[in-house]
Amino acid sequence: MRKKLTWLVPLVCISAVVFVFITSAGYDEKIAQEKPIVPHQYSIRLLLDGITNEHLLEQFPYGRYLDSANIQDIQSIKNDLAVLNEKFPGDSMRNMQLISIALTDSLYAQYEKKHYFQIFDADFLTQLFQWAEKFNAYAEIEQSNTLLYGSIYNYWGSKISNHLGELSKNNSSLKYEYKFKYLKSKCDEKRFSVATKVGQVEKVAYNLLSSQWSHLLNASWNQATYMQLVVFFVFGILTIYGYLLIIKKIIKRNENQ
Amino acid sequence: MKISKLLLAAISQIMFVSAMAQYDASLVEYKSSSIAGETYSVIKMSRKGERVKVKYFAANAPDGSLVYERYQKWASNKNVIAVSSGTYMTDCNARKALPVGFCVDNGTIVNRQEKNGLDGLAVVYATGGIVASNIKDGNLSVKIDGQNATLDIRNAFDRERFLKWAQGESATVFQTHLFVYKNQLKLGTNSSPNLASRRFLAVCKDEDGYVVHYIINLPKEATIYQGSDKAFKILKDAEYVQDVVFMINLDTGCQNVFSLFDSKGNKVANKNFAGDTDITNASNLIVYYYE
Repeated sequence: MRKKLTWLVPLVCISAVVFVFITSAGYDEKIAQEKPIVPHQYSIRLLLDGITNEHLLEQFPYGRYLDSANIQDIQSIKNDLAVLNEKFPGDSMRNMQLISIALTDSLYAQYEKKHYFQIFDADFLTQLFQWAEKFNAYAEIEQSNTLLYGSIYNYWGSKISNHLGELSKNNSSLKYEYKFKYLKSKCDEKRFSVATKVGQVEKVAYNLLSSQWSHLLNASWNQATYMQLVVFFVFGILTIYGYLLIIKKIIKRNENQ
Repeated sequence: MKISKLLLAAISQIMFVSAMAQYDASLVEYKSSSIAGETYSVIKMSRKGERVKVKYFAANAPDGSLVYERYQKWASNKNVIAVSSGTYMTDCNARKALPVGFCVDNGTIVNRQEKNGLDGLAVVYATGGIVASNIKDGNLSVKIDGQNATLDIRNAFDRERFLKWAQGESATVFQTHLFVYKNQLKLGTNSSPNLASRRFLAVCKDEDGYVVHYIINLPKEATIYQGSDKAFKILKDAEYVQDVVFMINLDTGCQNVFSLFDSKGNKVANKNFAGDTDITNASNLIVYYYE
């Protein structure tokens, strides 16, 4: 009875740890759907009053533009660019840059205020990626605005993949969550490669599986603390001593026979 | 008669040896030494006459060839001086790993992500040169449509212009840690505390203004700050370099590939010129060769 209990206690403890780990991982597989495009009336013209051509990039009210513009609708964005080109002709590149700043750095600043980039909000990130990736297609179709569309696409792809990398650094179990893996796969597919933190145990497992013995030995030796080396040596000596005792006993028994 | 025969034999022997030589030994020096009881190794390569060149293999080929296969195929008719793993990789498995941070390989986009915290952007030219700029300075100079343009690639629009330039010019670009820029150590003591062996690539100018490249290998484990500080001191105090243009990181993590070849093409056996990872596990490679 006592022997049974001795085995039961560690088994229950390990099961409890595994249970906590399994239940704390996110298994929700419901992916956020694309946001619908809802048309609404507004005009960028109202925001351009009093702004001079020379100081357009500095004076433009990016925050007010984002509050009123329909950034989900590409036609609406194109209309805004057309108005800018009409009002400030001669520098279409600069006008494109203005829309690019609004839909990248300014939009990011708004999300930052709402703390979206301080936590793992999978639905928000998924919908943001869905919106951003459309710009890649627009860039391929509409060559004249390829710099504008490409800049938006690459900016958000970079931001999201960097955010995922940072999150996995702070919470290594996050990379096993379904929604995280979904977003990481999307980023990787589009070549915004997410560098997730590879833990020491994972590195050891990888090197064992791929038979990287010299690297494994070198890294283990170099990274071990003095205490670990002492423990390793003591353990090694005890093991050898144990084997010696066994061999000695076998020899003695054979001699007695 | 005998003397002339001997002379002829000596000349033909010299000619044979020089024909066998992989590179001009006067342009490449290497040594293993120690500073404060710590062993390090240095490869010094002069770009005088632009015979020593750099080639970067950023990723597996679109046809599926792995980086080391690309390298071996390319190197079959090249005089290789040294080969090392390049920038950090996204995964320990070389078959699926990509270089960390923004990367373009011969005009093909490998990684679109501009990685936070990696301030160095290296551009490897088809002519065999390499330059690095500090992303934080925001003054990357390129020629777009025949016009000089200064780009700040932290800005999304400028980054897009740079990407289009790299594609158009079939350039090779990669992002990495920038440790020294214009003779200034860029890292703070509060950088990553992780211990690892370290390797650096430094591009310097000698007293005559010629560009000299150094690969400094520090086998002893150190933090990234300790390592870069040591390498900078080696350049200044042991190599007497006046002008360090930049010094960037070479990966010694999951991929720690490093080999040096002597002027006859034999692999240098000294362990201070060797990594501990097989080249088949390289995710990206920087190669120095003589042409």
